[in-house]
Amino acid sequence: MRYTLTVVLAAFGLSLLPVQVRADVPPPVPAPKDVKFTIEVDEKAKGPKLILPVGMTRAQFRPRPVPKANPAKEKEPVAMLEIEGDDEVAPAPRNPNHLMIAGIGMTLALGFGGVWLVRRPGRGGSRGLVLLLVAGVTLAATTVVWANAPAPPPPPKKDKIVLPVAFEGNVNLEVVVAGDSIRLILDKETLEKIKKDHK
Amino acid sequence: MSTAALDQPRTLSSGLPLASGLIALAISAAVLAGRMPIAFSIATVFLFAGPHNWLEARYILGRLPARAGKLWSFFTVSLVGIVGLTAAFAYIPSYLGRPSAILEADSLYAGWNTAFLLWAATLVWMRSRTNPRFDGGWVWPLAFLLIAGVWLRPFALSVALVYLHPLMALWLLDRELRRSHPAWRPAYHACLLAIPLLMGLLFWRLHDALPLISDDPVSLAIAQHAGDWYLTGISNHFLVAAHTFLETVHYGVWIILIPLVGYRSKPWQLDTIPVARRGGGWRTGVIALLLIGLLLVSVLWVCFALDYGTTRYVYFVVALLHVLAEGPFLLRMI
Repeated sequence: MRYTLTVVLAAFGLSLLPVQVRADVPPPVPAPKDVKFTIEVDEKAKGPKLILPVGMTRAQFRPRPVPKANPAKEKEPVAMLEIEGDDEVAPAPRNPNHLMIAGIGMTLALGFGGVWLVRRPGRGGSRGLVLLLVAGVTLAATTVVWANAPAPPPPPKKDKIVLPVAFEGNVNLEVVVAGDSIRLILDKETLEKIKKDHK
Repeated sequence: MSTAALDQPRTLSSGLPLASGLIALAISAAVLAGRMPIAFSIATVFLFAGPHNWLEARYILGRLPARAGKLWSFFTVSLVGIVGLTAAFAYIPSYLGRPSAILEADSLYAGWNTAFLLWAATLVWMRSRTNPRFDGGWVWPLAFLLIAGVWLRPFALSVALVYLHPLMALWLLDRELRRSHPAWRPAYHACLLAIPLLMGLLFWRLHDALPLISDDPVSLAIAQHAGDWYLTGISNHFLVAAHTFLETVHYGVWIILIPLVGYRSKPWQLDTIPVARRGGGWRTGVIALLLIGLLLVSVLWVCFALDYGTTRYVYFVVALLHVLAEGPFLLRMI
């Protein structure tokens, strides 16, 4: 019974840790999707420029709006950030105090568990110590292993279709806060070059 | 418990009638809960919620010792926890509705779950120090591990308790059989397998079923009670069916099986209630308690008929009292 309980304790602990350490793994590559796109010609431009609204990037950081209904919260001095994905609203950020309390709980659990395993009445301490060491080493090793987990595999690539190149060169990439479409601004020289190449 | 040795096994029969009764109850509940989860949930709570509480209170009264004696501290901690945790649980929604609320819901429920776990661990620890003693040292690492879990997933334990509480009745029935009908236990244990089997069957048939779509507040409340807001990856048809199935089995155990095997007299005969045997005011108090309980059962039925949704919500908040009371009672029966 006690060994079953020990295994359950260790398994539960292991199930908690990976959730945290997976934060090191980069987010998956977003799937392709249709977006608004415009090509503009600016005769005064010095080169082609690609303007990309920040909302269309993979992830964005923005201040979390503070609910107006609670005056006590408006006094919070710390600006909170949330990560937004492409399509879905991100869940509310985790309260860091919760993680701290959970950590204290985990520490106390391991401490009490170790004392109990070693000092169980009528049992030899060496077996308990071995179990404790095995559980501790497993927890530590699993954390390291999970932290180095590779990123999820990208979606399978479709057969590459070779298309005629309309333009090849550098563009100035500018990420802006506002906007809902990707804009490509062409200078006069580039526009003429594209026209000429396609005649 | 001091009354543990009062009963002798009344029969050495195999316990097949009990096992058959439990299996029939479980299959009926699973079929009805799977086919009409909302309607069956409404009906079963309406009919059995109040009576099962009264019969449970009557059973507990019959098993409590006449005097606390050395168990005074255990009963005090139990009572403080039962009343305090229920009051706090009932207060949380009204606190969250206030504009001045500072704490978020997840912090409050994580705090409540922490208090609940520490209370339960304290009771197990105290129980382990009284006869028959056992090594209770495991309770603190387990409690703190669960506390770490509730701060990482503040609502997980609350949702788990919704599904685990009905199983407590089965455990208590096992404890009762051990003392009064030990020969029935093998058959009882075998038929307990029907519960996970039927749960698995419900899951297989309903886990990806079309969700229960209804805009009426009662249906929404029932689905919410079953945890569909938390377990979003599973069809709420399964969740409501599973919860209703377990609740019905739990009602059946308290209303039919435990009175059949656990009562040493008719419910209204007070001679088998140790506290009532103390005479004088104690007997009057027990009579008053049981009569008030009957009155509350009647009032609950009337309120259900008048406003089912509100009554159901209030009932399940207040009913936490009996959920918590089962913990220390079960500990004394181990």
